[in-house]
Amino acid sequence: MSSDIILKIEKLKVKISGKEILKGIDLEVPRGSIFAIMGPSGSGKSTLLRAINRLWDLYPDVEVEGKILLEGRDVYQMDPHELRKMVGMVFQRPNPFPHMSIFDNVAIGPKMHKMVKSKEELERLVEWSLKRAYLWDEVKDDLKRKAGRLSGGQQQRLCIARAIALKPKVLLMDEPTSALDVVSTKRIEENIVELKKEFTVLIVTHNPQQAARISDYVAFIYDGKVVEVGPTSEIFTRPKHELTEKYVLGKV
Amino acid sequence: MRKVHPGILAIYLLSFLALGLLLWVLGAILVNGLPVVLHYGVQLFTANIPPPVFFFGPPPEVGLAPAIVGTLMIVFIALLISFPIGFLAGVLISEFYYTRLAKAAEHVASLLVEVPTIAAGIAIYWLIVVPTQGFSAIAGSVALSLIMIPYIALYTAEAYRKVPKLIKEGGLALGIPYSKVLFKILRGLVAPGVITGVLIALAKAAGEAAPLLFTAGWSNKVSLDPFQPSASLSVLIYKFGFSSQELWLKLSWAASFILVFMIILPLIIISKLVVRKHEF
Repeated sequence: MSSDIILKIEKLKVKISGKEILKGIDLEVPRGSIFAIMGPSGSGKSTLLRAINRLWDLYPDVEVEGKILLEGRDVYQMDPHELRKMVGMVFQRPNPFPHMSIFDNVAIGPKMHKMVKSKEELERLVEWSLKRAYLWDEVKDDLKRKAGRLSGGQQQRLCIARAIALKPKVLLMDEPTSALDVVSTKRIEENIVELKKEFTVLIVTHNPQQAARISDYVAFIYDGKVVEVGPTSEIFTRPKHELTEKYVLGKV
Repeated sequence: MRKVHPGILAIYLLSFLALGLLLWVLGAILVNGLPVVLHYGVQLFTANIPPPVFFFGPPPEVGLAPAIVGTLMIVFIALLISFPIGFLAGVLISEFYYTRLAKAAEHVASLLVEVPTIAAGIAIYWLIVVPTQGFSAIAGSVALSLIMIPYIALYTAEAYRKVPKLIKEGGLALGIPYSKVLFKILRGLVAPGVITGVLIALAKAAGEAAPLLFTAGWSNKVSLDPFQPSASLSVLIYKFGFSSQELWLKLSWAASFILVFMIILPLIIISKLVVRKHEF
């Protein structure tokens, strides 16, 4: 069993400015799955994601307790830069480097991590990433265009390309469609399902329908605690907890 | 007739008054300085400063080269000193705002902007000129640095603060070290703000006479040795502006023209263009 669990979270507690946001989270994320974390705003979903790639390290008022194991390794014992290379992240709002070209946005990560040996290899990697993010066809003729000039949906797909260019093991997605329109959302959802073939995706969403549409497993988080976790089909058809049922029906 | 509120009227009148005063000052410098510059032409920029006509008779050559070279050299060295310090202080103030050092740096910078510049001059006089027993261009540069550092620091801090946290985190989430995110990835985003700060600091420093009075000294001849005393345009304006000799008065106007229209105004205009070009 353990080798099929790529990410294991044990008794995770996070305090921000002394206030406990996560109150002991335990989760096991199976390899090659789309694992959705759903819950109302303020339940601690984003806080959880940011603990996994240690983005909280830079905030002196945030305390993290508990264990997060990636491939059996404690992430808080790892070099944070190596960890973040293994764990990609896509944010709530598209955040490409607006002053850089489309190409450079994708290339900067692999370049900084010295993943490629030649210009040709880098170009191949950028193309591979943009294709995986379903952006290649729209931008292939003008890779020098500034990323800030793209539409919101395109920017978000560029951010996906930027994240997967590092060939991470796990892709964290923090409500990646919350700032996008319906059409862009649909494309990104289709994209995420495709990405599952190569990456494990951990996606936070405040929209239970989205979790139902794309995920294999789902955890329902409420007030900093896991209320229920299991295969998506089960959670949505036979929720064990009353609160989960209410949430799934849109009553929380 | 439509009634205009007296308060609004007062704002208009005072604005025109302020603008009028500025144009009057610039106009006076233009009207008095430009003819002198045109009259002497190139030699003004190449020849040494003439000795007093009173003792030596009409000089063969009339120039401001020692003051022009002096100002450029003193300000350039001041930039070399103040840029690294001001830039790093700005990064500290913006990115490590929660540390005590950053808070202290911000207070010091805000305070230094307000300090009378003559105080910077007298401080450096006691700290450098007296111990080294002599005026020098470099002492002047250090005094000007005290004026430039806070400008560069505060503009740099502002430039980094303006970058959304989300973009910084985008870089960090790629596993790129914080220092590289700040100095490499964000370089293109903060550059306009930092450059503006540098240009404003340069414009401010180039026009200051007070910090140079007790530090850089004076020289009638062009000197490129930073450890020797040096003339400067601003000090020349101060010295010659009080003179009873017509030639020196004229040179004072010419120096004002060069300083304002050929150094300070271009710096300010470039700084405005830099910002406009990079807003998106």
